[in-house]
Amino acid sequence: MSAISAHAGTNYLNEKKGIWSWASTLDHKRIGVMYLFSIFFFFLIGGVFALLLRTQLLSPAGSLIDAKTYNQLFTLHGAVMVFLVIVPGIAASLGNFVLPLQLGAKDVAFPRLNLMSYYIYVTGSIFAVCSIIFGAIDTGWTFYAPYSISAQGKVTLMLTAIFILGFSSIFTGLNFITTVHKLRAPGMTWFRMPLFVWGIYATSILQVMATPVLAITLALIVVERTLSVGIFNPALGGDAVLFQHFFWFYSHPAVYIMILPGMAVISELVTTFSQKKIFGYKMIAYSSIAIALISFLVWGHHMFTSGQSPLVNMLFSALTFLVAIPSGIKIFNWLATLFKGSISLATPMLYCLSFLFLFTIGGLTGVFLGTLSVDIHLHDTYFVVAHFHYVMVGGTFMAFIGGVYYWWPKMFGKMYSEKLGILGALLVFLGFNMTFFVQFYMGSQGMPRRYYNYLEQFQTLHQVSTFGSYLLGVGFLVVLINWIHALVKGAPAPANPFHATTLEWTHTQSPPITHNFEVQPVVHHEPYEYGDEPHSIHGFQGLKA
Amino acid sequence: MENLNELLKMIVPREWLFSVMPLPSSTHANDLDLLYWFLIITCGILFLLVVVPLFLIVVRYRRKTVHQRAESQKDHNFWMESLWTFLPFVYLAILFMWGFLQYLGMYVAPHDALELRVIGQKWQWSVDYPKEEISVAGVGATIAIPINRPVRLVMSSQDVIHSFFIPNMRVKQDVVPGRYTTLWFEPNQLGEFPVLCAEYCGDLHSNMLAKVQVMTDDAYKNWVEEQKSQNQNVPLPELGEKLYTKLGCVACHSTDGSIKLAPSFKGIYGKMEELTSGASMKIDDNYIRNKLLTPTKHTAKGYPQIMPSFQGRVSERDISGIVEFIKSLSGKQAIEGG
Repeated sequence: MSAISAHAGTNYLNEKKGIWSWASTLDHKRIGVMYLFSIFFFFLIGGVFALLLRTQLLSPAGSLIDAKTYNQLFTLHGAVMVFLVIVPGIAASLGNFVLPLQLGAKDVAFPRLNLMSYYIYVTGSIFAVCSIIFGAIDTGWTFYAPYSISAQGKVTLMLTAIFILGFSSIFTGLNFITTVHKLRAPGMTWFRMPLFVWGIYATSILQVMATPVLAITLALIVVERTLSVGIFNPALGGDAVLFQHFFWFYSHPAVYIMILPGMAVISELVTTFSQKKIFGYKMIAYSSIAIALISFLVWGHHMFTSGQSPLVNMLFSALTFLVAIPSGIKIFNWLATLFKGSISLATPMLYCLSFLFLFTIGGLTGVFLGTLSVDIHLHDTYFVVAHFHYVMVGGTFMAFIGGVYYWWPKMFGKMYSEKLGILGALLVFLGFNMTFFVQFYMGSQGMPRRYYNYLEQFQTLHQVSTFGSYLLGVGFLVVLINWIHALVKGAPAPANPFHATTLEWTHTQSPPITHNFEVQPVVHHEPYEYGDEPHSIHGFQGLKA
Repeated sequence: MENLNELLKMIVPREWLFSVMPLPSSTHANDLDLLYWFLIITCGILFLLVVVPLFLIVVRYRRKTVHQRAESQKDHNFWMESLWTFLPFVYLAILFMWGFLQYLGMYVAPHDALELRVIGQKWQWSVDYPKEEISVAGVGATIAIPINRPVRLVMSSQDVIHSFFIPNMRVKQDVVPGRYTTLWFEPNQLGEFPVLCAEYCGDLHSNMLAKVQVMTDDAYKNWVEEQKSQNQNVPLPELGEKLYTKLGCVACHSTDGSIKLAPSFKGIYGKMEELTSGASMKIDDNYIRNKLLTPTKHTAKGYPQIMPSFQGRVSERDISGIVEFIKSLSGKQAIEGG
């Protein structure tokens, strides 16, 4: 099984040195690491925006910041978190690092295109930062017309930034699709691919097919702002609801661009940390593809109150329920995988369990919102805010952190501290629930989102939510400290500390050499074969540590 | 459905029923809360169906020694998988039908509904009663409606998208420029209920409030009479002051010299104002009139052009009233100019 030579010493991190060797690298691993750090950076910025917002909401007529600033902050929090953090998120960082390794390939199919994607991402983010500095926008991250047509601030600059970022997304998607089709190791049939690959593959399809629509839509807004062509603004003969159709035609699939990679990570964590073959491999793989396809047909559920016809609303409601089913299947399959496993409670697994808990809440509250008449009441309230944070943060981001912990030893050859890991995971879990669970209640009571002031009856709940967000912030800080600590002082990582079965663990050293594998791996069996021979399992300590 | 309602009241104490959602105050609200509680209970059960096994499995199968292997490597079970594909399908189909039928009821208004016309604009609601020939408007405006009678709102927006939301009635509808949207409800509780804007519309989005006052038939008739007589015989400056709040001028123009989104009215009358075009103009009766009717013509330097037009919404007497009100804030009483 083990084809890792012991000579080691050099790896992709230390083979070449200096900034230029990173800036000009074609190595998917280095590009993945650069994405990872860029995304962390923007996550911190977006997080600070969120904490400011929550602080303002401590009192019903708070005056920490003025209304305009508040509106700018929630816009930027949304725009940064969506377009710079969670859309590229797992796919661009972990996907880049892990996908070729799991396929037994030397690199992605188009390494130069891959580096270009990263530079496009950087360019886009520079545009975004410029728009924040020179004239923060207050349109909401959804840019609804006609408000965005007449809004002040550097709207065009921000739209350009997102336009550019879209290309990064499309190129990465193309690259991954080609890699999966063409660069699988000998013997790796489609159904021998790890489920992480399936998830990223489904995500890539969405990225390639949906992102152009967003690009066109945003370009139309720019045209309308600069040339006064009436497309979306009724004052010029346009249609305001048309914008929402265009926007959500991308942005609903985008929700799955965000969550599918999260599910992909969870599939890996569940099987590795229970040392058990994944339950219903094909069902999980197919459900990723099903989600990807159906997600193109549900955009209208963001628009139940927009004035679209009841017939259209009915169809979108039905299709929305349909897309819930594959997600449910995944949850039950993961549960069944854990059953009779040998479950380690190491840090990545704690995030995996958090995911299962929080994503279940996110999914079930989605059922509330899919129900037509109930959505009418809950639409645009804090209920919706809580729902998508449970999915995006409770789901995707928990999976992201879990995935980073899981692959950290492989990426950097260093072990993280299990104690700090557990502390961080608990703080994040508690802080997150405290911040967002009360928001379900506020939304049911009729607290609309994006409110600078609010009715006094909501004050206590808002305060709970704000203190929760501070706790969550501390939790993320602990995670960050743990990672920095691991980089500086972490113990050297063995090649396969968690006794996983996929190629990146079994056939490469930690960290891998630049060309990934000493010899081309050949695959003879399915991805999650744990075998019967007894061996000791490292990293089992979990909560005992 | 009635039986279900009774059953639910037996399971869930009455005070709980009203604690998660705001006090239901329309016929539709009672129906909706039934479905809402059905969702809370069934989704709660589903949540437990995932989380309790998860917890038990983690406790039971936790790795205790380094050599502990999984007890089984079984990776499929056709019947279990069919079960958790099929059962959610049935459950979701029920929810879909229930939600959809209820929504249809919300969509089709009875023929005898009292019709009101609503206009949304930054940042206030104005409501016209076409039959009664009265209107109410302004931040915090009171929209009176009689109890136990369906009301239908025909709505449109003057600028950006707003959304008319009455939590107690469980109704919400976007108010879109360039088209009409409608909503209806039948109030069955007396009292005052907040109206909120639920679609983000700019700086003072969270101040775009009004209230619905549900009254008995007699009280409603009195209210209508009162509204009709209100604007007659009021001295001009007083009428102007009323309109100042009612039309929403108050959102952007202060009367104490503080700067909001537009110049303050205090001491502005008779002043020379620098315009964005570079020219200067004296603020007199004609300037104010033009600003009210064709606001885009001139804009004071340093301020965004956000003022909406009030063409067709103010009478000649209203304009004079506003002019006199602004004048009174500059300590000028005599009528100047034309």
